[in-house]
Amino acid sequence: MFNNNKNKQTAGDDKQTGTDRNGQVEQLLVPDLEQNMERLQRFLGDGADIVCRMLTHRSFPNQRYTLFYMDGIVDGASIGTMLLGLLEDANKVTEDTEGLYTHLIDRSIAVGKIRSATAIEEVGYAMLEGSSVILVEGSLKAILIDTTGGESRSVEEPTSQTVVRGPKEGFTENLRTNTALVRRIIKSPKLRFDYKVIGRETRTNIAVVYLQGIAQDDVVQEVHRRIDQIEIDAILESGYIEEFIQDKAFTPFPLIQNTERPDAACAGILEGQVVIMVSGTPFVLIAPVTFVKFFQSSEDYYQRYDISTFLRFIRVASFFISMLLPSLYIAITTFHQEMLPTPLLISLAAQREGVPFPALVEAFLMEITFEILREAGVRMPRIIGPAISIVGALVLGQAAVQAGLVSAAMVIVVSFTAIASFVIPAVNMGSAARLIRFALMILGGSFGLFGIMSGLMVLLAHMSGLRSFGKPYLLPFSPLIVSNLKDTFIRVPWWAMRKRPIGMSSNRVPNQHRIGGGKRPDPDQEGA
Amino acid sequence: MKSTIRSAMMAVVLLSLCIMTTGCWNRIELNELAITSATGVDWDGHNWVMSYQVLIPSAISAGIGTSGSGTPQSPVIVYSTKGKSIREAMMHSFSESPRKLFYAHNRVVIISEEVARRGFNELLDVYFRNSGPRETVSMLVTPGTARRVLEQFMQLQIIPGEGMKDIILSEARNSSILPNIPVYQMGMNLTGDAKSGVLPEIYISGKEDTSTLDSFTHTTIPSKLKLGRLAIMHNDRMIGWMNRRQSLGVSFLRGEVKQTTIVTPCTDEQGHRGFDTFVIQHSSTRLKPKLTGGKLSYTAKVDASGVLTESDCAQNLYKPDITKKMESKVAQQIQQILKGAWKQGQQMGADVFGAAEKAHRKYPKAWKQWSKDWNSVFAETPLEVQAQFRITRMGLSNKSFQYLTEKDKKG
Repeated sequence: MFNNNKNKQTAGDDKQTGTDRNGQVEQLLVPDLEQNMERLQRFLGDGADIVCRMLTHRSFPNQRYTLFYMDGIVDGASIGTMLLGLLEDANKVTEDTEGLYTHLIDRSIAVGKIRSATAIEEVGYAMLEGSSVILVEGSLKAILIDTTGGESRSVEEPTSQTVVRGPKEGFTENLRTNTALVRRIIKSPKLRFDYKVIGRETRTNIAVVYLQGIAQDDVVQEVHRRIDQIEIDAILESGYIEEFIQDKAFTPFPLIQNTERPDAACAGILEGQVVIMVSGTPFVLIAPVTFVKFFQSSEDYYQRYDISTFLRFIRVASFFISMLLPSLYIAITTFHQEMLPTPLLISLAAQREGVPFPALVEAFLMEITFEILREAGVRMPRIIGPAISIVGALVLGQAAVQAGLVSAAMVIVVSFTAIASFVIPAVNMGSAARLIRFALMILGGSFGLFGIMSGLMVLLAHMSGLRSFGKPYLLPFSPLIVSNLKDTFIRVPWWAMRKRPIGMSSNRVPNQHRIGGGKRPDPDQEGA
Repeated sequence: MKSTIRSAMMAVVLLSLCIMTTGCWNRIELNELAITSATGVDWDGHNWVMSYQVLIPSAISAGIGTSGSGTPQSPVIVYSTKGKSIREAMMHSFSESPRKLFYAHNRVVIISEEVARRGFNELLDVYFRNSGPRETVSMLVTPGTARRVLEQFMQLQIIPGEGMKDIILSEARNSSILPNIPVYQMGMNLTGDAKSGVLPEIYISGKEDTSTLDSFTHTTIPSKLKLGRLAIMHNDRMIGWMNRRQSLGVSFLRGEVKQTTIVTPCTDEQGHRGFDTFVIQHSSTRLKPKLTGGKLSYTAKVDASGVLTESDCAQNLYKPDITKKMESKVAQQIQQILKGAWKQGQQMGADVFGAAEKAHRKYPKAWKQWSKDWNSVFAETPLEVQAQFRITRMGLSNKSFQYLTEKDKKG
């Protein structure tokens, strides 16, 4: 599975045996078939799912051979075709010890991808990945046949990043499917898939995908270097990799983007970003990434640029609302009452009559309640879903106000904050705002607007120091790259985005241009 | 790595310290505030008597939200404190109010005529020295006690303090007879070259008080708060009143007329007497000092334009000479208003027109001499008024209704 072209095959082999070895002596195959079979069975732990079929060939009646595979992770149809080919093989052959082995490879096995192996370990690991193995009596080499398959989820609509207009395909848990989805979109020979295996026990396959010549070479090398440094027993999701390779560990902000959408991944690849796919999860990683990327949805590029720009402003506004609104409310109502218009002040003061807690405690109470509700909504079984929404509306609503626990204005503030936090397209950026919100609430409740401003200053300084694979996080605002501003919080029409983002993609001049000049629609000129 | 963990720990500790220290500093919850909507200043001969109109938020918003439930509660409460100084009096409020007085939303400060005649430097000092009360608060003078004004309810506006501010703003915008004088402007006027300023009067028209909610069960309320005359201040002391016509003249001379109404008498061919009413929509006044032969004189150039809004006389407004005549009549009227105000100012010995600043700016050398006794210089300074008025529109009907009916009779 992890060897799809000849060049990479040798590299992959080296890697595989290299990790296996660890000082252990390799068990090479011996001419005795029974012994080989026994050693292989022992290596794989005599599992009930190991299928072993002893066969003889009609042209070589004295030479037995065995077919080994792991049931469930192989493609049943391939096995069937292969068996049929082996059993019905009527080709005439020379009688030679080496003959059966070459005969099987050359004429009998009706499967595309075949290679040979000489060590028990190599054979065993290949089987664990879904290959079938043929051991031939008297031969020192085993035939590994790629029959990877088995049950996997089909390509479905992504659930975490939905769009109104745009492709409805989403990545799946199957790495091969995922690479195919990308290949189907970018049909370029420059598209590179570099495969790796990480995880001592899980041996998870990983693909590093980029466009040669568009992605910056040093970024690609850096991605490789960081991934190669990972040493872990298991990789179950791309989040494992993300935490190992991000530039700074202690930051609330995500430094690597993730997506479930092949079109979003491809858009990243085409802008010079590197995509890291991990087998077993539909979420692929995109790096390097900047702050503004988290406010961009792939749909922005499919609908008109004016509405896209408007929506991006809405998202940025929502980000600030979800980060700042409760703290601003606390600060203004407890420190800066003079900032409120009189009727609003009276109305807020009237609501606060009889509320037992200070505004800060009140806000914390409601925010924590909302976070609990939200977590409950995510974790609980689907079937009891309606229960939580009914009870939730009571806890975070009119009932709480009537019970005299909180003021109605606070319920509105918390609810609006909650809604605003869902507008941000990237869930991980929304989580960053959530965490920062609590810190700012404490600052706002202790020092008023002064505290909030200080907090924001610290945040800004922190963000300016962040890097994602060496790229400044606040690019293109700091350092300012004017030509990159066309696709940030605004989006200009496609015909005006002539160049790829400077600094993110390769700076080789001919590669920078996406579109030729003068592509602005001009019917008059065409007519003339 | 170790240092990052350390700094992260430090941040957590500092943030949690913040939680514990809330309640320090100047944090104050909304339900600990006594929001003041109007302040009154009285003088009992020895002490300052400060009165506060404090809002009761629950009563107000209950009126807004759920209507008709429960017994009606007064939206405001008025109480007074005494002290040797204004701040001392305010301090005494802590011994009778469960909440801290909060002045940032104060709309008006009412001073009684007694205080105004005594002098109110102290009040201005309090406003300019402290950050709490705002200098944009409107100042008003009342002939009685300030406290009684604060006790009055107002029609349409639940909060009387806010209502008083609304009245003065709307008046200044729509009839321009009385100006809205915020505290900072009073301070600027009194420290200016002329050391004179004006304040609008607010008074209670009607004998009874409208200080219970029961009054609002009738269509007519027993008394109303009304704006009246213009109080003239000189050296922080009130020296007299100007009537409304003179007050309009002051507004014209100060260039503060935004919109006002001028009524001129008219006579038509049949000898019918009536009035033409004009709404002045734009007006600008340029007051220019002139020194001729060592004698100071002023020229006021008024350039106004407006709309004819009512006409009683049967006149054909298509004829240019008739409209010309109307325009010159209005100009004449303006001229008289200005001259009347100027004369009154001279008699009272208060240059509330900003004439001193103009003279100071134009003739800085001569000003040194004049400034020693500006009032006597000002008293002998003549004013020449060059008023110009232009009718921009006649309204929708070009002939007066009177004219149309007269014509029918003839036909």
